[in-house]
Amino acid sequence: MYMDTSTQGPPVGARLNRLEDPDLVRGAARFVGDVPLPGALSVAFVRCPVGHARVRALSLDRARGMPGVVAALGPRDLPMLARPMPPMNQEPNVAERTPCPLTDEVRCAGDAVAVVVAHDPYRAADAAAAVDVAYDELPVIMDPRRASQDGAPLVHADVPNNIAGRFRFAMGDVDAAFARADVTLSERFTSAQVYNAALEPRGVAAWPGGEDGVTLTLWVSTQAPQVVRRSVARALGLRTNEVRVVTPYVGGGFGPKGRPYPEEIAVAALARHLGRPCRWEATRREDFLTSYRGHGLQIDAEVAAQSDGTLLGLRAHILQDTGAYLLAALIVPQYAAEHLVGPYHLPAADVQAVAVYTNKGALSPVRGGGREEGVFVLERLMDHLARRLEIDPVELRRRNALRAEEFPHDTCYPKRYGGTIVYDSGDPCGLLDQAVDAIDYEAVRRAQEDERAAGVYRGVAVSLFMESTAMGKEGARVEVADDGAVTLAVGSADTGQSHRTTMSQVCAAELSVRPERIHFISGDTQAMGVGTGTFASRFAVMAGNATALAAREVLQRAMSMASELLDVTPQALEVSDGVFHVGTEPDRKITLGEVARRAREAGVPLTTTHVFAPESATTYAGGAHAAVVRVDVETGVVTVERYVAAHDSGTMINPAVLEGQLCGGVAIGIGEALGEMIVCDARGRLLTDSFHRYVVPRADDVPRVAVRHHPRPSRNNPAGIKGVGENGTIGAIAAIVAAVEDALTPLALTLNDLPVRSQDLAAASEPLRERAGALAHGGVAS
Amino acid sequence: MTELRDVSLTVNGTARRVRVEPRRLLVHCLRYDLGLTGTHVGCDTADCGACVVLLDGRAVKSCNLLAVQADGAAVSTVEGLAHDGELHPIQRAFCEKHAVQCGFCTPGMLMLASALLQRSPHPDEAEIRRALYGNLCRCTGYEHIVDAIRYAGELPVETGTAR
Repeated sequence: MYMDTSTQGPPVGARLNRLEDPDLVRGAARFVGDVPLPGALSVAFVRCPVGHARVRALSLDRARGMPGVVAALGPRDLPMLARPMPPMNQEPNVAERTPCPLTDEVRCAGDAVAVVVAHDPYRAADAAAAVDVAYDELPVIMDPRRASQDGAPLVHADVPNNIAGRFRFAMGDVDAAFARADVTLSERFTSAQVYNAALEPRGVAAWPGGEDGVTLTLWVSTQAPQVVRRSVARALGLRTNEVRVVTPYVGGGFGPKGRPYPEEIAVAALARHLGRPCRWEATRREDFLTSYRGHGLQIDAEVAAQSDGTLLGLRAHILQDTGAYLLAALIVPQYAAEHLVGPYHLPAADVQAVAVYTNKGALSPVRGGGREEGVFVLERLMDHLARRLEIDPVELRRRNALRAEEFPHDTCYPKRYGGTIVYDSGDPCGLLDQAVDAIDYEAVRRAQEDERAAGVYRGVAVSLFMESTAMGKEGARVEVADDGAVTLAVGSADTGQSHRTTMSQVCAAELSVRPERIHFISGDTQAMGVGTGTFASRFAVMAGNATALAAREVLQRAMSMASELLDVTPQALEVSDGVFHVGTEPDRKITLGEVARRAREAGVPLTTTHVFAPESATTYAGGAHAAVVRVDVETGVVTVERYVAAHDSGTMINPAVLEGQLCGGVAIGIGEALGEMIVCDARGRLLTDSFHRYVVPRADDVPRVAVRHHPRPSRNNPAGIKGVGENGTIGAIAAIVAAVEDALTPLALTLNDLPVRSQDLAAASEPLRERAGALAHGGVAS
Repeated sequence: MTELRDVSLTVNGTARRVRVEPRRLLVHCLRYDLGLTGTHVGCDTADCGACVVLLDGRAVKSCNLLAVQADGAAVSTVEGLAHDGELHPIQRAFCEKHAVQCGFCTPGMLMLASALLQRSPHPDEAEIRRALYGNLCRCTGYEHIVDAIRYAGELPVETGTAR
């Protein structure tokens, strides 16, 4: 059913090889550190190691006198860098505080107190090390639960009780639901802060020049060039169209590269100040210190149900640790809250949230953006409820899950952009069946008793979810040149999601040309100024529709012109491989390029821009994941033996790309479930500052992922697309933790805290080791 | 300023001579002095493997070697894998098996894989996963990379031999 890449045909749904790969496998792709910038200076920052401090003295003299050093600056030397970055969200009732590019009041480890510029990176690093800083350390607040209490140290003097914001999402009569429940459960869930660990550390290059009115050009390792452009322009007092942001190849993002950073402003300002191109590339340690972080939630949740397992209501209180600054408003706790209703019939819910500042690195969405935590909490509650009611967890989900014929389904539960969450299409029961079948759930269950008797602790579990995907707006411009070459420009940057491949497929399908003939540009504000960013599982939905609609309009205009030129009705025309011909007379034809030339000569160039910006772009993807794990009760080490991801991502543009997104997402979910955590000490210093100490999954830590496609096209956009970028992570965390708990059923553990660490499992498994010892001893004795 | 040292390298088959500070890392010598930016720096603690190159045929992490340590050696980088514009089988396999997403880890993965295939032409999955222990990928979940390396090992021997 999938086309060969060399033939022409409808390419949407085809497993096309990626068009990005030839450059990437040759080492010819340019990342921000590879962009040629003759004469570029190297920038290095001086960063505070502790969480809260005031700079008592800053001496730059020694650094300034070193060979190769061009400048060494503190916040007083370039006052525009001492101002907080422009707040980009400005939501009502949210105390949005942003970091300063340079500061003398440090609010989290990694805040920059000075910057040096030198002729090469070695000299810049030498000079940064020679900057003398004396700090007065201030009391730190690291525990979000204490942060809002009276008397706690304030992160921002003008934010009382460190409260960044609050919200409440509620529907139905929750008190009545709990009053009539046969059973209620109350649990506390926590998650450690996590690091995105994109393989390319962040980086910025700036050139104080440009073309067509641009006076400042930036190359940035970012997911959101349009946002960076606005941030830098506002900070430096420039008009937006004076600034051009280009995203070269970007080595992964996973959320934190979707927000603006102070270094973008600093490097841009230095380039303008010195009149020279400047470049900063974060070291890995610096990236650990300064990249915005995910998770950091505490959720108290209660569920009410009937004795047959029917859900009646849910209450939750979310405490979000935002770290020292707010770059993403309350997006993370809001996504967590949105995902607490899940794919189930749930008549009543009341979710309250408070976000508090602490002296930690600032919060950002990280793959899942809070969805994974809402799903984790709800799915853990389902497992705990199943255990309480002695109902199999799969059966409990089946009793409550929405069926395909119930879509669209209005949950009546609020959505963060207003209105209620209406699931447009889906089939949770069908997804669950697929996952359960593929993992062979019953067989694993049947074997467990004998395995445990033999000292083998193997567990199986499922997670089931609906996922909010897409938001914002995205532009696409399609242009046909005289030679028939098609240019497609879209807004948001690719950070590994195969934009060129998938959008070329969409465009090619509309225009009936070969995908590899399309000249593709993304993430360059000069080519397309409209783009929200590549995050929130949104790019394929938003840019896919923008591209399809722009290309469709171009084709319609070309058809109409071709029909005039060939003197036939448009209906009589067929198009293939860039040629229009009369269906009944194949020799009467005209090429797309010729049409474009005639259109240009007629003063109406064959180009169009479509901005896809529906009132509500959100469309709901779905997933059911299943995992089989084995726990070594001696060491607590968890081996994920088998994994199934059944997903509904709507219309599939390229199934191989989808499978890649799912496998990668699952790997991150496994890491976050089983060990990834940022650790700071009592002074706010970051302890997990290398891959020695922050361990991400390696090739032998993750299983193969058996993907089951179960697409239900979106009803909310013309192309039927849903997002897939976060599906893998969202399902994995809940499924993995549940499977570990299931493996250790004899211990009756309640695993509600992320991550689940092997040392804790080993400690908890003591009774199982004793039992094994007793058996072995008994064996010898008899 | 520190005294500069002369270093002679054979890089992708071509003799090169550079003058570097003794502290200059091999990866920076490749990137800054020789303009070979296909070799990436993902960390400086020998954890991630984005900087893997072949030194006299052995896979090494060029962020943890000094350029002066490589004096007199043959260095192979990702730029040297393709021959006369024709992709090396491991490069083709990475394309055909969707083993690339952001592509930042890819050069190191390719060099590691080419060394593995030289040593063990038909590795099984467990062997491949063990060999990849020192190469991180955050995008793919490794599955397609493993598939690509296995697939490259199955390609005809005359084209499947790493140079």
